[in-house]
Amino acid sequence: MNDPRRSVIDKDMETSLVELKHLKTYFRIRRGLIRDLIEKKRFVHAVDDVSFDIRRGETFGLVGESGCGKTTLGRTLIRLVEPTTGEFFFDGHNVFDLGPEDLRNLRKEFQVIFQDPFASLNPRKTVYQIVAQPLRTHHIVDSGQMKEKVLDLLEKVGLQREHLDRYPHQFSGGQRQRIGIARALGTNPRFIIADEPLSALDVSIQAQILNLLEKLRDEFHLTYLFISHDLSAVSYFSDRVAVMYLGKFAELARAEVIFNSPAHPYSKALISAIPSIRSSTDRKRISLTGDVSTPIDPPPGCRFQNRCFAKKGSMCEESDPLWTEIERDHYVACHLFA
Amino acid sequence: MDGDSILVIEDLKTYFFTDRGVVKAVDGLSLHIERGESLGIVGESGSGKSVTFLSVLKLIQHPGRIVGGRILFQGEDLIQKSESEMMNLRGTKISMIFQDPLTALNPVLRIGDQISETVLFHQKRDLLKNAPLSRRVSASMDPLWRKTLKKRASDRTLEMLELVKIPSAAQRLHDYPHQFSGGMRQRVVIAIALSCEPSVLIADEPTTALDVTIQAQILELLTDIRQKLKMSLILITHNFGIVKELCDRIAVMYAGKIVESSKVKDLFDNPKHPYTRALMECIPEASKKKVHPIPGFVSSLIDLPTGCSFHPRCQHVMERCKIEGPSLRKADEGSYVRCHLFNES
Amino acid sequence: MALIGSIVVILWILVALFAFPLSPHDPLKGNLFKRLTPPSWMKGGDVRYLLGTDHLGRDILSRIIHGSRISILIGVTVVFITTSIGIFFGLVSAFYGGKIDAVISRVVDILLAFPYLVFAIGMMAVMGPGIFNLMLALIYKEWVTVCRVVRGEVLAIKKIEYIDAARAVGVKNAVIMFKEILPNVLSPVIVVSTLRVATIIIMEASLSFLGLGIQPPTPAWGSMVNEGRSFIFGFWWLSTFPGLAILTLVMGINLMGEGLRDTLDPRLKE
Repeated sequence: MNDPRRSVIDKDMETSLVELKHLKTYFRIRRGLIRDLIEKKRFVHAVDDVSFDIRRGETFGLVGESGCGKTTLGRTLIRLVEPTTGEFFFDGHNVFDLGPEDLRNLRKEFQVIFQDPFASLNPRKTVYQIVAQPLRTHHIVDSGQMKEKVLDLLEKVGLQREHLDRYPHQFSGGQRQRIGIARALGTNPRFIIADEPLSALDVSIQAQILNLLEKLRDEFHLTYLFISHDLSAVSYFSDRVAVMYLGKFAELARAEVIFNSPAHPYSKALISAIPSIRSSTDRKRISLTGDVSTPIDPPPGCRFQNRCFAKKGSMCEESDPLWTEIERDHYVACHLFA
Repeated sequence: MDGDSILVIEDLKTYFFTDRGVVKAVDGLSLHIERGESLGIVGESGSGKSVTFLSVLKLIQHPGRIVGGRILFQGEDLIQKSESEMMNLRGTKISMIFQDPLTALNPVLRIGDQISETVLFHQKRDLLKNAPLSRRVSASMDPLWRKTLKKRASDRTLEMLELVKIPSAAQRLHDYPHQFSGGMRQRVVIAIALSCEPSVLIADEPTTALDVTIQAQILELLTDIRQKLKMSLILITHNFGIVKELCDRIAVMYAGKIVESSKVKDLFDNPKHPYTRALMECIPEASKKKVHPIPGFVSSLIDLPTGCSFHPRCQHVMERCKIEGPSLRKADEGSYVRCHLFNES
Repeated sequence: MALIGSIVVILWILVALFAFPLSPHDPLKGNLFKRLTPPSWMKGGDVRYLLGTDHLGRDILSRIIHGSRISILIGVTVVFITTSIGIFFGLVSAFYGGKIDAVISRVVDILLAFPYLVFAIGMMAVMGPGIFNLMLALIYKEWVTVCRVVRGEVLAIKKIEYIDAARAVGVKNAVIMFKEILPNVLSPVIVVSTLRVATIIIMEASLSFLGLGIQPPTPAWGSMVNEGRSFIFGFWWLSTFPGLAILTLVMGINLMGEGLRDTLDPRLKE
């Protein structure tokens, strides 16, 4: 995305708003009272040592297929899931260290847009109640001004006054997503995590929501973490993109680079798999064979090696590749680049 | 329109009679598909794409009903056929697969059984088609006969699993659906659908629930199978890219009607209908600087706009569009459009 | 439908409130000369005893009218209290999970495993008979049913995204439990609760029959049904009319409950 309007924000990009260091989120597999006491503990390595930073005003895209851990990563950041180890600095504050009161205060700064516009809104609450909830929780305005503030937020996302007293089931998917966005904006956050915001929507509605997110980004100088399995949408919307596989980052680079000249074999396969109307008729598609290996107590070595078409040799089976910077702002975890 | 049309739909109308009004899900749809051809049907939700083919298989239930038109399969009108005649057709001559492989498979049956169940059912029917009742009863009690049938069915099952490229097929016959990944499950579903060698396979969003790399594998598989079995494929999807890869022809649907249909290459080189063009503009791609959403909302199927259903959202709307609904007319060789911009008569 | 139910319930409540003026006779005093009189429209019936008399000569109609007070009191009170307790523990147990859930669930399982009557007998033996103790005994056992239903519902709802959304916003746990989850749980709870009123009334009957709980001569529908059992052949009205009373009240409550559930669900509003 080389939109000239965004160069204004480049200056801000020097400072990191979000810094993640060696995040690990493991889930313990429980098999019953007795077995848990006797047998060795087993863990699902949902997020396995991930470090990156997001700069102020940046849109950071996170892609991967199901089971890669991207959703868990997002949920760990907002502490809906507790991290196993690692540090998460938001504007200098170590979020994982905060006690409940401070955490609640900090939540004003980062908000979430969820995937399922049906399930992310309480069916028994009106639009007004849903959007007012964060305002009330954090005492953003007093009750006298509440209605006005809610109307203001609704207007920003393209909804109207008459929608206030209606219930979620009376709206279409796209409108529900807008309500979710209005809710997220209430506390004036600086950082928004969008977890698959487009997946449940029709193509033309996706475009509407994408445009809305863009408009809000410019208006409020928002920083986004955009999680999705839709590579095209992510590459279009993000500044930098990270590709995730089985709990680890495979590659991280600017959006155009990931899309046009990916380095990691998995990224290559992923990009080549997208059916695109712009592709030439003889584009070579890389077919991956085999199944994804297990995220439960994975063996040493590269996670991707059992399906990799560019395997270097025994090195791939023995040791985890290091996160290497192969050119400016372009990182890969692959033995081919060690 | 020459050649061997295996399926011809003429002016199909399927309406749903609900408390809130009549939902005109399919409103005058015509199309045809040749033997061995693959046709892509593209549309968003509410376009009527799924209802059209559920109508073909006469799987529409109350409060929906086919209210008009003809559906000619190999020359015979399916609308006139009885339910038992349709049961003979479904799964044998025309098969359909759906989006979610998880719910399409019975979780408590082994997949080998699920495939052979279909085979057995149809084999029995075929063999005993004209036999008198006494013969049928004696046959079902004859252990040798049953054994032969079973052997045939299990050979066929193995054949199908190998056709859909499931590794170690002989062992995996005895596994349950939950022991397979999403992509593998969809392969099993395809195996079941193809077990009786249908002439037409209808695939309703077969890869939407799958990861993109798995989707690529399934699309490759479908291409492969089509060539091997010389089967017609109808692929219903909202994704233009998939159609481009897999199909010979494409039809775009909006609000229960086809708005444009042509050969795939022609459509992508030169999309005609404003909806088709607007839809292509919407899709985000890394190389694009902006996406242009289609203004307005999808028309309610109960309360369709007058004239052309797309006119409230059309950039090129003219006065005529608000009054008169355009009909599907030939624009080029092999291309049809439903739009006043192209029907200057 | 719900309206009919509500009307029936209200009528019974009025009957219960105005029991004294409404009853033609004293429910406790029996005229032995008039024992086992059939209902007034039958042969041998007496217009003064509209629904006939029981084996002690007491007017069935008056006993039913007075019995309504007991049944409504016990049925409604017990259900109300057990629902509240059950909702509370169900919510807490499912929401917090872990050890709290384990402990509460074990308690629930143990209580459920007890054969109901054995438990009740034990309790009454310790506490002695009487209406208050009866209610206590009923409450001890009943709350677990509600608790289980609530727990199941909450576990399902907990996973839905709007709960995550509330947590992401920073809403406090207690607020989430009561303002987000509870309204969504009430629907099935109401249905279960209304069904249980009938069960409670019948349980009361069993206990009274065993000599615990309501002591004769106090009229209670359940007990009346039981007392009439020995006379069922030939003197059917002793059990039938109290039975009909139970039937109408319970149906009324059920219909009312359904109506209540429907009004509470915004999805059915259009």
